[in-house]
Amino acid sequence: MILQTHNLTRRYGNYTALDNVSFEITDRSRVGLVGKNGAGKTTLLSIIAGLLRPTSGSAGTGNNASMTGLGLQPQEECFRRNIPVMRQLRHLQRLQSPASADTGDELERLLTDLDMRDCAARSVTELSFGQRKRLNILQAFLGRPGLILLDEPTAGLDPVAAATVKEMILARAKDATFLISSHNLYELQDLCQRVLVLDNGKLVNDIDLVRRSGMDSILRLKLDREAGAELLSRMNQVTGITQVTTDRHDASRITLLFADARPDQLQLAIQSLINESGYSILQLSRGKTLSDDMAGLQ
Amino acid sequence: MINLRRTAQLIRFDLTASLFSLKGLFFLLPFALFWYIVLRITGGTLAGWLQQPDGLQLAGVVFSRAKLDILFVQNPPVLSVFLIIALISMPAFAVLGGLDQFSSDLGRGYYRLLATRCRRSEIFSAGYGVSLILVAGAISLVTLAAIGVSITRDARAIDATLFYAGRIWLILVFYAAALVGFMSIISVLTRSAIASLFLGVFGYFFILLVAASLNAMFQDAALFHYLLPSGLKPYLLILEPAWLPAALACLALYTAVYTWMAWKIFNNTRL
Repeated sequence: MILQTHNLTRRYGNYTALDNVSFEITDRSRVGLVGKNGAGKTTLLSIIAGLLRPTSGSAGTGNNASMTGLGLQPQEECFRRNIPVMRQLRHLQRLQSPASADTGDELERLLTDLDMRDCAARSVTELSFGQRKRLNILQAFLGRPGLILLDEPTAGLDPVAAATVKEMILARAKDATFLISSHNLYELQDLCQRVLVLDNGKLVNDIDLVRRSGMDSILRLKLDREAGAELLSRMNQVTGITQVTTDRHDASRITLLFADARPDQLQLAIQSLINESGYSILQLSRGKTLSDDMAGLQ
Repeated sequence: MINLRRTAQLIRFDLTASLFSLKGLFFLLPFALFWYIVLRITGGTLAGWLQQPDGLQLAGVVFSRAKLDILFVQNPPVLSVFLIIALISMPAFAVLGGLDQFSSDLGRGYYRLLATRCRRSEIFSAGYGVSLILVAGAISLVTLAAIGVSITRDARAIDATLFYAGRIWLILVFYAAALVGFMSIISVLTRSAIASLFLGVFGYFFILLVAASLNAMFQDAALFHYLLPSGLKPYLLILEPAWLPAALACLALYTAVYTWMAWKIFNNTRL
């Protein structure tokens, strides 16, 4: 166990930002944190990182995290003005791990990975929003911490930078644990094995994405054009299909529910049926998505 | 427990940053200018005049005959004038030197980068330590300059001058430590250097006013003078070696109380 919270509660006067939140995170796992604005995600990360004291309850890191340290990427950049970025990063590196600061290899590699080499000699006031965001992410990875907390890591980043950040997370996943707060469900689905859902300060759901994606009860399709009534009717007649629905806003998107022990054969049958009817499949996915679980909160 | 390596790293980085930033210059420039002018006047005429009957008569309005004797007859007068002016001006310079121990970094959220790498106690110790080193360093340089002026003007034995200057230096550094401790409380309560400056000045004069009012209301209770270390000034001026440990202990007690209060607030503040 690398992180454990027990009845974590944080109140601001009469307002309860976190309400009896308890969970455990195992070593080397990637856990997402989702919820609406004000659900308590940043408050939770702040308490785990030690920026904020809980009103009651506790959050503790296990031996592994204590030994290897904690990395935090806050939502906003908070470096000191008028001091070159490189000097500040070296300082942070020395605080966390003097040995790695002396070799300098790790910092150089991170600067290269995040395309930040040109920014190193500048102060943060001379950096763009995206560069500041990447700088914030970079410092969270410094010193190879065992537990890394990321608060909206890719919000505001261009697609290339966002992809780089995702690659960095997956590359470090072998020897680090991640807790990632994000509004981007697709991103969390790509990155995480598990997602904690917060609503009004309460932990309302704890979703095992590995198990969910393995559940073959749902088939989603995107066709090249709107599905006609005849196609939908023929799909309904396939043995093992229990429900066929189209998206309210886009009739080319179809969701099929299965009740069959042989989902692969059923999928092939549906694909043949679509091709025979003169349609093309643009997208296909099987299994329940994170959006399905979040639907009740939207 | 405080990790000394990390605390030293924090102090080294902040001290270098302070010396070359507005934060440091805001204190160092007025301090240097003030003492340059004061030491020129003191070295030129003031100390000599205070040894004359006219000067002693005027100083007698403020000090007793016995105190005048200790300050300007028994000890080098240039250093005594230096001590008096330093004690009077110290609160103003302590406000300038200690106003930004934590406020700007709290406002900017900089401690979020440190909190996962250091303990709060290390961050707090470094914040207080940097301000104290800055103020104590400036006091040391000015004391050296005062010694130089005293040696050339007062014509006393060098060892006696150095011994007296050493006691003055100790008192000033301990006095500054208490005042910087007072500013720690102000600095953890605010989220910008400007707010800390105003609250520091306002807070200091407010406590002086409260102490004066309480003393006026309760004639026999001069105790309220001691809400601030400036209440000790009359005793700090008599630098008898036998008194020195008691004076330093009192100032250390002020420092301990102020920094403990500041630490309690800082420890529960959202970083």
